[in-house]
Amino acid sequence: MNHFGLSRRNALRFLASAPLLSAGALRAGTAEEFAAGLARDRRLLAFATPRAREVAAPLRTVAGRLPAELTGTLWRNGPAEHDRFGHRYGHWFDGDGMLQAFTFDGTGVTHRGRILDTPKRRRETQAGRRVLPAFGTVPPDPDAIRRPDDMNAANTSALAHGERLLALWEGGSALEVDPETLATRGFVRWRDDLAGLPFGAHPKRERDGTVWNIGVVINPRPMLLLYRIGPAGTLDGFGHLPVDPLGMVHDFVVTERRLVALLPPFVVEPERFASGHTSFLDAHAWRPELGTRALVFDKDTLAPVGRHALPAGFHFHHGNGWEERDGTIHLDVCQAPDPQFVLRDLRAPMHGEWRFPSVHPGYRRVALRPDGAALIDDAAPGVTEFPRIDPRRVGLRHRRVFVLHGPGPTESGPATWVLQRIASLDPDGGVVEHWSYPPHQLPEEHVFVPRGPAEGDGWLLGPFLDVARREGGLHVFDARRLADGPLWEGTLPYPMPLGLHGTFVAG
Amino acid sequence: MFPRPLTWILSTGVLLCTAAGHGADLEVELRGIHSSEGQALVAIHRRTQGGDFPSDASVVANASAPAATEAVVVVFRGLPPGEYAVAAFHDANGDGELNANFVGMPTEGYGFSNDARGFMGPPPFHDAAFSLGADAGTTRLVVNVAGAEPAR
Repeated sequence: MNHFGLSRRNALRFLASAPLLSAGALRAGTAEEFAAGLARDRRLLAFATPRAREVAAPLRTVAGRLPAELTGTLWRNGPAEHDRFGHRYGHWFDGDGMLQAFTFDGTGVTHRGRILDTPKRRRETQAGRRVLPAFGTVPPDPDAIRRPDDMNAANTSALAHGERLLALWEGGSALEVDPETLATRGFVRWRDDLAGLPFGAHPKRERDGTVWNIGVVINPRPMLLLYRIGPAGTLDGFGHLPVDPLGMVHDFVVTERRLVALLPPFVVEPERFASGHTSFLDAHAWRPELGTRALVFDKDTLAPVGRHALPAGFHFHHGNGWEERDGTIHLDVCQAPDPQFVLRDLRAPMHGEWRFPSVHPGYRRVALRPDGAALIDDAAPGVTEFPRIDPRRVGLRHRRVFVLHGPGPTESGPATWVLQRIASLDPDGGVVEHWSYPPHQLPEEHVFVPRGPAEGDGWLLGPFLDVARREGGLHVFDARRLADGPLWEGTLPYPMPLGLHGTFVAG
Repeated sequence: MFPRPLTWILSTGVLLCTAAGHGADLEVELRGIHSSEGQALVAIHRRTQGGDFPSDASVVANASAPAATEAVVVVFRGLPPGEYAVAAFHDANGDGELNANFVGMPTEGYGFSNDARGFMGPPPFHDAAFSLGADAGTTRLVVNVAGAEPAR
């Protein structure tokens, strides 16, 4: 019997609790300042909105030969529609997502891309202007946010699992996409009582086909969510743990028996969150006194089984995690001393400034001992981001991590892109080898595709933007001979902005 | 252009209204319903002593109509003069409840008059409130029943 009193107070407590809104201190960009910046520095093309909402073209071979046995699709996602209705976002991570497919048929590569038709974007189409808060920018006079998916830009990553292709964001549901047309099919509901809850952008797939993921809920109270998705693509387990305070947790690791999440001391302040004038990013406060908290969960029960304390630092990504027989957990992390690079440097190009003066993440190893001790040390010089491993080593000891790498701002000078190399790292031995992109080519995350049985025997697929030719492109490397340069280089007849993450589906 | 709204005239909602002919009629137009599954539920509320809103105590009338993606109009007749607020939701699965996920976030579309919203809870009554005068004739207001409803 219902009285329409909306008496489920608990339900209503959530109303405007989505990730935050901002208008104040941190302004949006403007098309004019960006155009002026682009005229000064052509590398800013990496942060320009694609000219078309939908693109498709074959890649033109510039050099080398494609391995005939490399067949399948590299799915890529990233913020792309930085400008719309004359409004330019103020942070790299704000833009509406563009899902792209690079399809290898053994003789050539074709490219397709489409700005994803999210409910968020549809609502803005209807309004004729930007009306919804984004990760780091709040448009003028924003609309009501009733749930996180209202602002879901589906712009961070892609997952192909259980015959579904999903575009992932971090603050809301996974969005199912038709792999043929790139049309959206709707948000995924893993279980009725989990509808609309955040499903993170760095799911981990184990050899048996199980996919693990996390999610971060801020309201009505902060908690970490844990998902176990079976090989068929249905939910096999779910857990949650209240954690207060809590902020962004972008990635995690799995080991043979454990899930491990490192929580940086960059946490959401509820009052700033509630003001309605602060973006999700800007509602975070840097609280180094909290340190970095490591939470360890049991994979069978999804219950917490360990907590460790590490020094303060801010990170997005891990390479991998594994455990020793005595229970010691090892993992690697691309960690910076603080989140300045996110707050400042990743905003600068949106405003037409090519400046990255903050300290960017470096490659570190962490050991979490069963007695509670925790150790962290630097394991490679320079800036390290977008780590990928051989997917057959997820949760097992790994000997190679493939990263975008740079010498670091102090050595490279303020005018250099921070990630100008593709490098192969040994977690115990630092940089094994690298190849430097020429200054007019800016690389994205490189995805490893297995070939032979040994770890690291495979290819690296690396999209890049050529700012001299104003063309997107793709490199294929032999992952064990990076220093030799790409096996193949192909280019697109149009530029694509730099994206974030992707996944390869063989076939 | 919107298609012509579908209209249901619902026999009076219950009400405090005794003096027939002295009340106002209220047309509530619901917009933004995502599918034609289930029903749209609308409730008229008044201010309560305890300030509870929306609550059992604040409801003075309610009505339902089949859900539709076109605008749905629900008409209340003979409301006595006073201050009211409207709450509505899309009961997509027809269970009569505003469903929520396990953290308490509504998973069905809902909305209030004046497009009022609260933070971490429903809006305060006064944000959603509007007045109906005596013999005010017919008043029409729009409630956006919005929600990016998880689909699959």
